[in-house]
Formats: sequence, C-alpha cells, structure tokens
Amino acid sequence: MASAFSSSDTAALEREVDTNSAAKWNLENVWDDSQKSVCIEWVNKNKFAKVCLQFPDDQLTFSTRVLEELKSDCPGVQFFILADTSYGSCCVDEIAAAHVQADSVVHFGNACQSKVTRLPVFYVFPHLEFDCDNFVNCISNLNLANSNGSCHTIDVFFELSYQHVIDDAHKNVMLERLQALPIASGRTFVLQKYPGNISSDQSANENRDVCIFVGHDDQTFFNIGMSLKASDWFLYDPEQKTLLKTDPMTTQWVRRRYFYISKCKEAQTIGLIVATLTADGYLDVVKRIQEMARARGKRTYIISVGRINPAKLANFMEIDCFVLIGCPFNNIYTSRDFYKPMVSVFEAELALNPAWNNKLPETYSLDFKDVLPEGKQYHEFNLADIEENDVSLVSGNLMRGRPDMSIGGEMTNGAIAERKNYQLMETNGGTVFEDRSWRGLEQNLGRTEPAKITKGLSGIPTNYTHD
Amino acid sequence: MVNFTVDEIRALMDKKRNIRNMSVIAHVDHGKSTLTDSLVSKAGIIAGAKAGETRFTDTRKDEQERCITIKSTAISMYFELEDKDLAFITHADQREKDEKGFLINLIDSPGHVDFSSEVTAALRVTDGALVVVDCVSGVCVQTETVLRQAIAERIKPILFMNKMDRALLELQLDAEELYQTFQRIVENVNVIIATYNDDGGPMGEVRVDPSKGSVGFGSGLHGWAFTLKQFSEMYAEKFKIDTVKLMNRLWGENFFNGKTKKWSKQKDADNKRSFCMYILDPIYKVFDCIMNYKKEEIPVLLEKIGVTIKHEDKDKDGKAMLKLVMRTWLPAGEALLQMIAIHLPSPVVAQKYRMEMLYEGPLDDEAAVSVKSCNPDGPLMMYVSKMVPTSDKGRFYAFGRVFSGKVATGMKARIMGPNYTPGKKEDLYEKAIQRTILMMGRYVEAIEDVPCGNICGLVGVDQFLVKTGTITTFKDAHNMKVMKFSVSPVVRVAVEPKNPADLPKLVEGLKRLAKSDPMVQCIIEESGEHIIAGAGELHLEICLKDLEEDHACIPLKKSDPVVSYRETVSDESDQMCLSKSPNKHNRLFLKSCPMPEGLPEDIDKGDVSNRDDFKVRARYLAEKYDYDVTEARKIWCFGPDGTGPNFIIDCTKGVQYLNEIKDSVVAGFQWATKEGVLSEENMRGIRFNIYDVTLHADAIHRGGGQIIPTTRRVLYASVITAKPRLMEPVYLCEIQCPEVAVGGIYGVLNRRRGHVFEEAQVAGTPMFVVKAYLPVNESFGFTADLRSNTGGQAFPQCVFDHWQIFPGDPMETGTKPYQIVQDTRKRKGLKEGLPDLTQYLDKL
Repeated sequence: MASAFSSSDTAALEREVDTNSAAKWNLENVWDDSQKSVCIEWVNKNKFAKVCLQFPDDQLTFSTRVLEELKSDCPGVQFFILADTSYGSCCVDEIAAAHVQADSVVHFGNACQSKVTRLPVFYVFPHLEFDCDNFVNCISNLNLANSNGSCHTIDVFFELSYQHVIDDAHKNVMLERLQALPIASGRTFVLQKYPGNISSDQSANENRDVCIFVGHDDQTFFNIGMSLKASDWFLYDPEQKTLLKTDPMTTQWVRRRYFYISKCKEAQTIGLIVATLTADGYLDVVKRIQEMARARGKRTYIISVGRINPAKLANFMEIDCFVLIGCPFNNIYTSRDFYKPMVSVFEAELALNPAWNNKLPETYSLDFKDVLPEGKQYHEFNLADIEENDVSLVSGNLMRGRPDMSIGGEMTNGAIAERKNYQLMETNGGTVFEDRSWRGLEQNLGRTEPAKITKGLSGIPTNYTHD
Repeated sequence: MVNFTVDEIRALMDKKRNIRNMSVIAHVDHGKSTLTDSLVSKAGIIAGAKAGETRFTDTRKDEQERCITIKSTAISMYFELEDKDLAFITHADQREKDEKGFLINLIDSPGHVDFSSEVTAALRVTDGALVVVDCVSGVCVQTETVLRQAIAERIKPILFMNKMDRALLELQLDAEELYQTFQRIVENVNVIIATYNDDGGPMGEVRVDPSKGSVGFGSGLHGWAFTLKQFSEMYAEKFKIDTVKLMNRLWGENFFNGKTKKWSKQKDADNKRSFCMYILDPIYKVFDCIMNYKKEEIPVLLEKIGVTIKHEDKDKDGKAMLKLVMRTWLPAGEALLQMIAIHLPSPVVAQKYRMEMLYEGPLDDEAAVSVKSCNPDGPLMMYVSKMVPTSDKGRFYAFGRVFSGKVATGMKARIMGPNYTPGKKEDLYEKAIQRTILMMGRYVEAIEDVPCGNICGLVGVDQFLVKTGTITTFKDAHNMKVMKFSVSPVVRVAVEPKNPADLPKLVEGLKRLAKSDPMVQCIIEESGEHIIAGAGELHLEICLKDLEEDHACIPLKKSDPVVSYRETVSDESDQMCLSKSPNKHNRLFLKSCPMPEGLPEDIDKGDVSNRDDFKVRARYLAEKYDYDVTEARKIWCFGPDGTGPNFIIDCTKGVQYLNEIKDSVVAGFQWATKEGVLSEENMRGIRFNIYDVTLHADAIHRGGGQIIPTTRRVLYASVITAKPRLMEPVYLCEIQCPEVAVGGIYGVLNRRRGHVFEEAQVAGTPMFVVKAYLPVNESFGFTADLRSNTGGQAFPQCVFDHWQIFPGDPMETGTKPYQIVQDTRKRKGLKEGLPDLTQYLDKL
C-alpha cells in the first residue's frame, strides 16, 4: 500500500523510460568475461564487504545478471544496485552509496572519472566493437599534406567504449601496427584514453601536432577538442568507419555555446545550480561567481534541486540564466527544452570576468576548478576592468556593465528608503514581481465573504484521487 | 558661403523664431543632394574655407563614388530676407522682431528606399520638409512613402519641381504640356497630403500651392529655381498690381488676352494661360536662343531679363552659357531660401502641435509644457535620433534636437534609452555631457551650449545609448516617443570571420554597426550565427562593407541573403488540443485560429496594441472584425515580445485559480510565438483561445515549472492541427522604364513569382510605371536581372509591403514550404523532419 510519504506504486510502474538508447547495448558490450574476472579480483583482493553496482538507466536491464554472477563468485559480499542517479549517471553516486554504508562502488557505463573522495571505485567501461583493420587502413590513408606545421607526434584518443582496444594486453600490438605504416616514418604514435589521465609529457597549453579521436561527433569529442590545442583534429567514427578532419572550434556546438554565453552576460539574475555529488571546490566556485555577479549588479541565487529537469527550473521564473556547477559530461547543456539557457562554470567565467572581454579562449576548460586561483584558466577578476556598458547582440539593448550608483538617491538598491507604505527596502528582485499580474493572495478585506474552515488535502499529490 | 565664428552662430541660435529645421526628402535620383549643394554654396555656414566641393552633404567616400546618399547629413545655413519679403511672414511666432537673418538647419537624406530609416531619423529632428520631385518622372513610390511619414510626424512640406532642364531639353515639352505636368504633380502631392492629414487637424492646412509660393520650379543641376513670387515681383511694377494678387493670377485657370488686355477664366482662341505666357515663355526663349546659337538675339534677351554677363564668360556657348545665364537670372539659392523662410514653420510654431506626437508622458507635466512652448529656460528635453561615427573608431556623436531647455558642455543629464520607464532604473544613466558640438557636413565645431529649437551633436553619450534616446534634466520626465520606421529588416545574412579566432573582433564590429545605422539589426541567433538584418540588398551591402572595412576590420565570410519567414495557421484547429503538465495534474484545452485579414497589420501599426484600454480595444475589434466583445476584452497578451501580431484569449468559464497561472501561460505564449513549431520562426496572425483549464488544487503543483512548458506544448499542438502555413515577406516594387522594356519586366517578374497589379504611362512622358508585388525571397539579384532583360532601361525600387501566405502545405513532403522549413531547421541546427503532433498533444 502506498503511504502518504512515497509515490503510489502505479506511478512508478507507469513511468515511461526512454527505451531508444537501450537497444545499443547488449550484455556482451557491458559485461564480458575479461571485465568480470578483473572486477571479481578487485573486490576479493580489497576484501570489500558492501559493494554498490551503479548502472546508468540504459544499462539497468543487465543489472540483475551482473549481480547474480558477482554474487556467485564473491561469497560473503553484499551487493546493491544503484540506479536513477541524481545528476548525471557518469558521476559516482557516493551519497546513495553512503545510504547503505557501502565501502566501494563498481561503476558501469559512461563515466566522467571526476575525483571521488570518499570511496574506492572500480569502473567497468562498455566494450563496443572495433574494426582494427579498418582503423589502421584509415590511418594509413591519412592525408597530412595540408596540415599546418610539421608533424612529429600523432596522438590518438580513444573514447570509453573503445578503450579496450588499447588496454594493457593490446596496446603494444596496435602501436606496432601503426608504427609499421609508411605514414609513421619520422613520426610517433601516442595512444591514450579519454576521459583519462592525458599524458603530461607535454604541458596542457602546448600545441599538439595531430590528434585523432576515436569516438563520435558528440559532446565528448567537443570536450577533448576544446580542452586540448592541436594543429589538426581528426575524428574516427568506428560505427561509420570514417576518418574525417574536423575543427572543434567551429562546430555548430561551439557557436551555440557562444550564444548562451551572450545570454549569460545579459542576464539580470543568475541561478547557480549546485549539481555535484563528489567534486570538491564547488563552494569556492560559487563564491567566485557570486562575487563577479555582484560586481556587475546581477543577482545570484543558489539552487539545489536534485535531478534537474525543465519543470523544476521553470519554477524560477525570474532567473534569466542558470550556471550548472557540476560534471562537465552532463548532457543537459544541449537540451532545448529548458525555458532559460544553462551554461557551465567556465562559460559563466567567460561571460562575467572582464579579463575575457573580446577574447576567445584557445582551449575550453571543463573542470570548474580551473577557473579558481592556481587553475590553468585562472584570470584575476579585476573590478575596475568591467566595462561600463555594452550593446547586447541578443536583445539589441544596452546592458549595464556595473550597477550605477549615481542615479537619484532614493532609487539606490538596498538603501533605506523613505517610509512609504511601511516599506523599508527596495530590492532588485522585487521589480520582477511588479510585472506580474498575480502576486499571491490578496486580502480584499471587506470585499470577500469570510469562508468557513474546511479540512484540506493531505499527502503528496500523486495520491490525490481527483485532478 | 557665409563665414561665421562659433559665437556668431551661437547668437543666432537664441533667436528661436528665426530658426528653420528642415529635411530634404525625395525619391532616389530626383536630385536632392545636388539641389542641397546649390543652397549650401549660397548660404552654407562654413567655419574655414572648405567651400566649393560638390555633394557637400555626401560625406562618405562611397557616397561620392556611387553618387547616392547613404547617410543623412546636417548642414547649417544663414540667410537674410529683405524687408519686402519679410512682409510675407505674417505669423508672429515665425520671426523675431527687427531680425532679418534666418538660421536654417538642413538635413539632406537618402532617397533610396533601403535607407528610409535615415529619412525617419531626419524627419524627427526637423519641422519642415522640402519635397523634391523630378518633374519628368513625377511622384514615385518613395516620394509617397517619405511624404506620408512626414505628415505622420507633423512635418510641414513644401514642394520643389526639379530637373526642369531635362523637361525642356530632352523631352521638348511645349509650355502647355509642361504646365499640365506641373499641375498633375502638385495634385498628386496634395492627394497624398490630404489622405494623411486632416485640414482641421492641429497642423492646419498643409497643402502645397504654387500661387502661395510654396511650390518651387527649377533645376538643381543648373542651379536655377523660382517660385511664382519671383516672377510676380518682376511683373508687379509693370502691371501696377500687388505681388500677392498677381501670384494668384499666375497659376491655375487664368488666361490673358494680349490684344484686349483682359483676364479670363477660360481658354479661348486669343488668350493664353498666364503661367505659360509670363513664366514659361521667357524661359523657353532663353533656352531657344542659347541652345540654338542665335548669337545676335542673346544680348537683347539678356538685357530684357536684366542679366549682365562678365566679359570673360561671353565666349561660352551651349549648355555652359545656358547654365550661367539661368543661374544669374534665377538663382536657386535665393528662391529656395525664401520659400523655406516664409513657408516652413519655426520651432516655436511647430513644437506647439508636435509636442503631443513626441512625448510619451502626461501632456501637462513640466517637460511637456516646456516642449510645447519651446522654452529655453525650461528643463532640458533632447531627442537623439541617430549616431554619427567619429574619426575615433568605435565612438559616435549622438545627433539630435533640443526641444526644450539648453544642453551644455559639462552639464549633468539623465540619459534615457528606449526601454526606460519612469520610476525604474532600467536604461537610465545620469552622466555629464562631455561636449556639445555643431555638426556641419563633414566638419564639427565645439560649442558651449545649444538652446531649444536647434540641432546639435553630443560627445560622450554614445556609450549609454544604442541608437536613440532622450536626454533630460527633469527627474520625472518620460521618454520622447521612439521612431516608427516605414521599412522592416526582412533580408538577413549570416556573417562569420574567415579566421575563427577573429570572432571577438566581429562581435565588437557588429556592436558598432548596430549603433551606426538607425535600423540595422545585429543579432546572435540561438544557433550561434551572427545575423545582420537590413531593409534590402543595397542596405545590407553597405552594412557589410562598413562592417568589414570600418567596424570589425577583418575579412568576413558572408552567407547568401536569407529571408525570415513567419508561421501562421489557415484554419481553426480541427480538434480541441489538450496538453498535460509534466506532473499530469494540470490540463490546458486550447484551439488556434487565424486572425481576420487586416488585424495583424493593425497590430503592427499600433492601432491595436497591448497599451490600449481593454474596453476600447474590444469595441474596436468588435466593430471592425466582428469579435465577440466579452471575448475580446479578455485578451491576455500579445506576442512575441509582448507586442507582436498574435494574441491569446481567455475563453474559459469559471475556472478556479486561473489568474494565478496567467503569468506562466503568458510566459509560455511568448516563448512559443517567438519560436514557432515548424522552424522556430516567429508566429504571425494567430489567435489562441483557451477553452478550459484544470489545475491542481495546490499552488506548488501549478507553478511556472508545470504551466510554462505545457502552454508551449499545447500552443504547438493547436498550430499543427490548424493547417499551419508559412508566410513570406513581399516587396512592393515600382519599376520605371520606356514602353519597349515593359515586356522584359513581365518576363522577369513571372520567373520570380511576382505579379504586376498596375501599369500606367507617366502622362506627358514616354515612360511607363509598372507596380508589382515581388516576394522578397525572389528579389535577390532582381535589379541586375531586370537590367539585363531590359537593356539597362528599367530601374526598380522595392520596399517591404506585406506578409503573404506561401502557397503549399509545409507539413507535406515535397512542397516548396516544406523545403523552406527543412532548410531553416538545418541552418538553425534543429533536427530535420516535421514536428510530431504526439509530442505536444496528450490524451485525456
């Protein structure tokens, strides 16, 4: 029976799950024997007692099978299945794991590999089919003739699902095959995983020669393409089996981001959505954005709403732009269902910090800690540099760079005002409500009949029997 | 040229009754700038010795090269009337006592339709307009457009018939034919004036009348002009008749019999029309003598008309001689300046009736009263109508007119942009005016202060205004009304830098471009494209050139021009559309239907607007469009942007909490009408009726988050079920050409889906005028195509006229509108294909 404090059973049963993407996966991709053995070894070696298995929605169907197999091979270990992660399923849900006092997490599916502080995590990446012959063939036909500058190293990045191609057992085989190609004469191939620890023999800001990304033209490609500077980018799509030259700086994705940055610049009110489970340093980021926004006369609100969806955010009608403080692999940036635009921390930095005026970053930063002092994209925030005002290309209006304190005393925000109608303060947020036709209950004293007290509704709304 | 010091000019500015602010307006190539030159050379105030350059008011290099005015330019002139002429000024507020000198601020404006916004900006700061008409081509489409705008702004017109030399030399019209041509043009102009002005209105009678001296004739190119006043004065002594009386006799159905010396009202065998006899005949004689080299007759004739020619000029002949003689005999500057001083209103007179059209606030507040009385001691009220680039890149002079008070260097003033509302801080700045300057063609001169009734430029204000704004010292002042343009930015190009790293420079350049042109729109679209929208191909071409060379200074990639479309419906929704909120507890029931014909245009014009009193609006809608009054009273809002040509009507009966969700519905409605369901273009001409709403009993579950997305979905569903259509912009296209070329025009128009709705010969000329509607989408390259098909003889003028439904169903694959929808979606980076009704419609 449904209690007053949880949803009715039927609601959960009727909920529609997006089934389109599930078809992409089958059990072999998600959980094959090699992964299984490594995983079991990891659990047994570390002597974990309570292990959480975290699945993304589209791989949840395999959870029971995986659980059964693990159970039989790891006697005495308690397993829990975690699903429906609050923010993005790429992040490790430490909070949910803490509910069962788990001592470790096995994470399935696409992972952002953000730093996890509390628990040891074992990542199980999906394995997708990869045609090595075709790949080598494509590489050998690679045309480097018209690439800019000389080319000494060729970096090849493998997306999560294809990382099995270069795991310890196979890496050298692949490398040998590539080095044997005629194109490799005088050049070296470097095979790396992405996301993962990108080799640091070259500093991040230095130009790479040629990079090849093995994966799809999606946000992951954008993330790596924008965060690493290379003279040429090639994209190898293992499904289409094509190798194409692509410039991440001019993709439609980047241009669209630029529009959202402009929107953020123009926003009067900014909502900071704290949507991170694990990443530390977010409080510093919040503080920094708040400081920059205040200097520009923008209001900020901190919002934490759990799983983000358009309906929740649309409740904050007065907010013009949201800044998502969370995992950069979250895919909600691209969704067009939101009433107001959403930008990442780095994009908010571009919009608000005058050091970025009239400048384009050469590379994009994904980790929000980069904008903090000591981060690689840190630029000092200098109040005096804020331009007084600017023309917005979104609305065509003039935007105020910083609050103008010169205008008539009685209108200054937050100042104690004359005692009109017992009103003490005038706030900027309040002006939004002036434009609304409905401002809440009005007393209408003497004009409405006094009503009798009746028993109200109780419980949560999905339990109501009427509409 | 008159040489004045700034102090002397400043002294003239105080004599507000002796100031005339005027614009020169006309169709393209009717000779405005050339005519202006002849005025400037006579009376232009020049600080320094830059006189004698031609096309003085065309300040840009490309203007000089193309011989087309692109930007409007102001120039000040000084002119003294003789005592006998001062007698013609009867109104007490039209001249200061004992003052002969007049300060004339003239703005030369472009004639090409694509630059009409410049004309609008010029008209706002002036009180009178010199309408120039080429007497060979007559009243053209742009003449009508600008004249209509002038009347709407309460600008008093005077008329000048230009290019008389062509009529005489090329067309060889005889005197009576020429008179008929003039007569017809005067009538045409007066018809336009009468259509838009009420004689009983505040401006009074503004018709132009040659016999009153408010119509001039002549040739700007040759530098001669006259009004009937000049000729009356010549004959007055001879006939012993009063000049004013004679002027009446010299126009219209007045005939004189040379033998019997009798005047008559009818034509008969012996008499001759007085205009032909006394005015045209002498001119014809001069032309005949000189052009046909009748050397011996010339000195006699010259003596008769009282022209003496310097010895060194005696050898000239043909056109050069003709020019010299005519210019000496009937100097253009003299006639025109007299006309301007006598017939155009002073600021004191004009502001009395213009105030209510200019001011948004209450008509009896301090600012309004001061503007009305043109009071230099009142609070400052100045309207900035445009920005003029300075030599310092990225900085602009704010150009405008002081309507009340004085604007001075260093004074602190409130700078209010178009979005300012009294009592709020938005779009309001309080800053010191860095410098006040006089603008004279290409040159500027600093000045201490400028009193009301004058035109000037400000330095340091450009940072606080985008294009236009109000500057005041009065704390409770409202804005001066924003200008309404006669053209719309319907043609767009996307630009991107050739080198992606130059993007910030492009953005900076676009911001500057947005300032420098009164109408161009520079926007970033959601797709991330940088769009420049202008009135036409030429306008865009100039904007792009400016952007590339002056504002951004980087090489650009430009897309082909594209047209923006509108989404509309052609029928009522075939079912009641229902959408449920994300929590499934709120339901909206809604249908859409097309607005009756004419209503969207009424909304565009502002005849029906969100600002009207709802009862007045409802009555208007009921009377004109048969709307149900009770329903029409419940229009919730207009959209997009709160003012657009769509609205949502509450047709529900007794729904609880409805008021509470109104704001959310409005927000969703604005969102949906801005980004339509087919291709995210604006919607147009759709009426949405909300029939029923069921809401959750708890306020938290019927908040914006639930209602806004639901409203958007149900609006989309109702559009999809109401036979959606695309609308495309259509140009009104006027083409002048000789008869032989008419066939070629039809061919070109047919290929481009255009259709001719009027074809007529310009009376008295072999020229034909063809008027046609041409979809903007088909107009790219039209001018070149037309020229090549008519041997270069046809020249079109295209001005946006209306929106028209694009035939064909955009929801049916293979049709043209379907293709357009797909192309637009692709350009915007949307998923290709058709919107899916099931995504928006829910089952009960």
